[in-house]
This record gives sequence, C-alpha cells and structure tokens, in this order.
Amino acid sequence: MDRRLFLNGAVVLAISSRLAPARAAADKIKIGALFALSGPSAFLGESQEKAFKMLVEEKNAQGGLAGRKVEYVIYDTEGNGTKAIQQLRRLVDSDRVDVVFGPNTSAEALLVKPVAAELETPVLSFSGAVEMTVPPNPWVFQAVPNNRVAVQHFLGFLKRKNYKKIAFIASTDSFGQGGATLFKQLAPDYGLTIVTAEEFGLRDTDMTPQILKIKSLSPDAMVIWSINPGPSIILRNAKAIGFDKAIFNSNGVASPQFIDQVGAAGEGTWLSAPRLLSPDSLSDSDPSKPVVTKLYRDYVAKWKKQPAAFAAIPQDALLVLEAALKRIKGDVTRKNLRDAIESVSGVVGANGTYTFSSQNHMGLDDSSHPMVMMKIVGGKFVVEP
Amino acid sequence: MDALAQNLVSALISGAIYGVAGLGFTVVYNATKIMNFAQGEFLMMGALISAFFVTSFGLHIVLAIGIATIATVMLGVILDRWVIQLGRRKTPLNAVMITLGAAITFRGLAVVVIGRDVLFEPPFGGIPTITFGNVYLSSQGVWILLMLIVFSLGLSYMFSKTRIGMSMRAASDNPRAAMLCGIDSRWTSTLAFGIAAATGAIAGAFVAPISSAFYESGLFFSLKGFASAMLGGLGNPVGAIIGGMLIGLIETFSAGYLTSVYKDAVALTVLILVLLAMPDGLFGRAQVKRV
Repeated sequence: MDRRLFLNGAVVLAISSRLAPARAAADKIKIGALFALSGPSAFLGESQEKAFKMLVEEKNAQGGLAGRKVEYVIYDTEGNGTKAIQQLRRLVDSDRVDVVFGPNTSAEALLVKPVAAELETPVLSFSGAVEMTVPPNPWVFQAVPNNRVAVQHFLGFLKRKNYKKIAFIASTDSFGQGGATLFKQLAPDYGLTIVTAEEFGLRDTDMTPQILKIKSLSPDAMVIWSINPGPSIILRNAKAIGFDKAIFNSNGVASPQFIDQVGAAGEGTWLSAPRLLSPDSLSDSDPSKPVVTKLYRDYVAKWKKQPAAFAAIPQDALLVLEAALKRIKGDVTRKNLRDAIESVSGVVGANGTYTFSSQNHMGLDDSSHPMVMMKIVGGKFVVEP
Repeated sequence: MDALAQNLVSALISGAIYGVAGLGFTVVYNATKIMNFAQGEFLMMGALISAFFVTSFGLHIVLAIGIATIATVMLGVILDRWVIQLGRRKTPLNAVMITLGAAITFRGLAVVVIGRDVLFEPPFGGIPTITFGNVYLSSQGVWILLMLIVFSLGLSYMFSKTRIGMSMRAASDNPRAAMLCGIDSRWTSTLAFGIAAATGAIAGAFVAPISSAFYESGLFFSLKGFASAMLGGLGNPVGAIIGGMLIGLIETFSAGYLTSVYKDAVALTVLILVLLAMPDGLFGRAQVKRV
C-alpha cells in the first residue's frame, strides 16, 4: 500500500513538472551550451567555453543579462551529432533551459535543427552552415558568419588582387569538404579557375606529393581549407620544395598559436579570419573594434592566453540574447524569447552588426564584413584591406 | 624527374614513420601474440610529452625525450602488469580489447595533463639538410631514418640471436612449455611492452618536428603501424619496416600521380590484395601446428 502511494506520488510529480511552464522565475535566465570540448573539433569549443564562462561571470557581476541572473549548463558534444541531440533533449527536458547555444560543427548543427523545432526551444547556432537558416526554421538562429559569406569574402579578395588560376587543397573531414564544395560552386562567379582540387587526411604527416603536383600546374595561388595540423605541415613542405606562389589559409587555422606552429614557413602567407585574431590592426572606423578589443583584452587577462578567433561567437550570442531579453517584460518563456530574438536589430557584436526578422535568421548584415584577410608579417597577423 | 625523386624521398620518410609504428606491434606480438592497439598512443605520448617540455620549458631535446620515454615506458609496463595480466580470461582477443580501452585512456590522460594544443617540436638539427639538385631530404628526415635503422637492426638481433629474445618468442608460442624450461612468461611480456613503449616514445619524439604532436594522432599511428606490420608479416621487425615503406610508397605515388582523394583507399586495397594472396604477409612464416 505504502509503495503504491509512493509510486502514484512520483507519477503525479513527473506529470506536473512536465506540464509546468518552462520557467517561472522572472529574474533568471538559464542557458544550455553544447560545445565540442574534446575530439577533433575541440579547437572550436575550448576557447568558446572559456570566453562564455568569462562573459557570464562578468554579466552576472553587473546584475545579469537585462537584469536576469544567468545560469548555465555546458555539455561536451565531442563533435558528435548523435551526442549533441541527446544532450539537447536533456537540456530541454531535465535541465529546463530557456535557450541553447551551439553546437559548433555543421554536422552536429544540421542534426540539431529539426530537434530544436520539435522541442520548441530557441537555439543560437554556432555553426556557419548555410542550411541552418535557409530555409528558416522558426526556432533556429545563427550567431555567426555563415560559410557562404566566408567563402565569398575569400573569393572577392582573390579577384581583387588579380589571382586567376587557383589550386585548392582541403582535408577530408567535414570542414575541408564543406569549404571545397562552396569554393568550387562559387569560384566561377568571381572569374576564377580551379586548376586542381587536392585532398589530404587530417593526420597525414607529409603533403609533399600534392604540393609537387600543384607546383607542376603553376597556379597563381594555393588555397588550403583545413584545420591544423595539416596546414602547418603543408606550409613547411611548400617552403622546403620552393613553392613560391601566394598561399592562402581558411579561418580553420584562425588561432594565435598558428604562428608558432607554422614558424618561419608561415611568413608572407595569408589567412582569412574573423577580426578577433588581430584587434590592434583594425581600422578605427570599424564599428566592431571596441567590442573586439575589449573581448581580446579581458580574455588575455583572465586566461593568460590569446583567444582563438572562434571565441567571438559566444560573445555575439550573449549580446543578441541580452537585446532580446530587454524586450521581454515579465516572465521569460521559450516562446516569447524566440519572438524577441526575431525582433532584435542593430546589435553590434565582434563579428559585425546583427539584425533578425521572421524571414532572416542569419543575423549578420551584408555590410558587416565578418571576415578580414590577414597576412603573416614578421611573425604577426596584419590586416590587409 | 625532380618531382619523381622528391616523391620517392617523401615516400621514404612517410614509410619510415609507418614502419617504426609497425615495429612496436611486432615486438609485443612476438612476446605475447597480442595485438597492442595502444602502440600508436605510445608514439603520441612520446611526441606530446617531449614537445611539451621543449616548447613550454625550453628543456634540452635529449632530456625531454628521456622524460617522455620514461613516462611512456611506465605506462606501458602498468598496462601489461597491472591491467592485461590481471585480466581473468587471458585470450588474445580479450587482451586486444583491453589495449583498445587503454588507448582511449591514454588519449584522455594526454588531454588532462598536457592539453589539446597542436605542438610542433623544433627540428633536432646537427645534421644538415641534404639536397641533390632540386631534391631535398630534411635533416629531421635523416634523423628518422637513422633511428629506424638502429631500431630494426637492434630488434632483429634481439629476437634471433639473444637469449632474452628467444625466450620471448618461446613464451608466446607455448607459455606452458616455456615455463617448464624456466622462462617467466609474465616477465617477458612486461619486458616486451616496455620495449614497445620505449621505441614508440622515441619514435614519436623524432617524428614530432615533422608531423606535429597532438593528442589525437595515436589512432593514426596505430592504423598505419598495424597495416605495416600485417603487410610485412607479423613478428618480423624488418618486415614491418618494409611493409611501412611499401604503404608510404603507394600512398605517395597515388597522391602525386593519380588522385590524392583516393590515396588511402589505394594503399589499403593493395594491403587486402597482398593478404589474400599471402595470408602471412610478405615476410611472415606460416604457422604450422602439429595436432
């Protein structure tokens, strides 16, 4: 008898908690974060987690986001989409968060997209995949420059500097292949010819054969689309065999450690990166400069380490969230938070200015130019206009 | 012509790296009949620990390699004596599962202790970069080749000529009979893991200036090393080296002259074909059992 009573009680409790409004407290906001903290994409999640924790601490010390104390739960997706979905469900069902940040990689984010709609929870995605917001899903937003914008910036720069014949080399993982697909698709629009598209494995130790082949085709420039260590090895191999054409890297290597990793072989090569990599060399007319500079200084002061360029994403997501919360009077629910994010406009973040609407969930303005081209000169990143 | 020669040199170095990873498989297999899939992690730890001490504390490279080797050997010995040998049912399959688990543990340990950064050790120097015309062989490449020669000759000598090497082989062939002859098979097994860890750690440290040190590279070394050891014939140290060289050669030439997209597929297809025709590998001896 006792036992049945207890069970009934448990069922009633479970049902009532299931039916309770998502959040009751008006003075709190709970963020669930899905970061890849281990596995091959850990280079993304690591600096983002550090920046996120630092910024939340700072906001809470100042009274929270729009007067609401921030609580958070962080899960490590290991860059694995199946895990990311399980963790998203856990964040929504048992941690009862109001909004979800992440996940990082396109592969994870595309799996998360339909689940976010099913769970009716707003997600500020950290992935640059174009498909995240085209077509728009009511619950999914992007707080990050999308890959198409990044590739277009890249191609525009190559065209402006009069590079015509391009040799492309990418890693075999989703980052490299995603870049390769967009690059090949968009290059003709900029009048560029891709003379060859080579590949290499993420852990390969020597890319000399690919570079020799590229050299024999005498292109105007070589474009590398991969995360480290591949690009560092390619630059070393290229220097060793005397490859003397311009070499461009993608934002996959946009971290301050890259210069140390590649050493002398990186001198004079280019990379496309978000502004955070080199805040000092930005022009003063850049509206994002103050945001970028503050984030950079705070991060270095707190973690004794320069931030990777990806650390700007949680910063922008928090700014967008803060702007949305300012529009909500009273209790925050997932529904009114979603509506509020759609009405956010003119928020200046580190990667540009964000304006959302019911049709546009990719918040960055066209005029934001989230990426800049940098050259390694004297062991430093220098922005090239 | 230059490109062909340069590709050959490139294949030689890649092959040497694969071969030296394969050596460790051979040593453990010879003494225990176990496939040690933590072998790649020994290379990873050797690379990561030595690169960490050199880049973060400016330690001398010899000292850093020494520390890395001692730490890795300790982990290798612990893996054998206090994990594999305590396994209740000692079948090679169980032991293989244990080594796979150990590989994941070592990877996690590397993240916790050292971190997730990609580190590049500075090249050792001392030997000049060799150039013939437009073809170059980097000084670090020469170091790797030298290491490979020393290791393969040393291990071949040990297994075929010395008492200790022969008792290792005996203990793996028939532990009971070996025990009756006074060979302690537990000790030979631990010794084999120690040697495999030491060669792995040193190899990793030698490779780190070329290929970077990163906590995730262990699996890559394990796969390439395993393929080299299988191709050359398990149990034969020189076979592992030649197997590694062949895989390096096939990969390099398919990347340079066919397409880099399928280079791994080409290399592994060749491996399958060779094993279909010669199940014991190129230099392996067929196992004959009298019933």
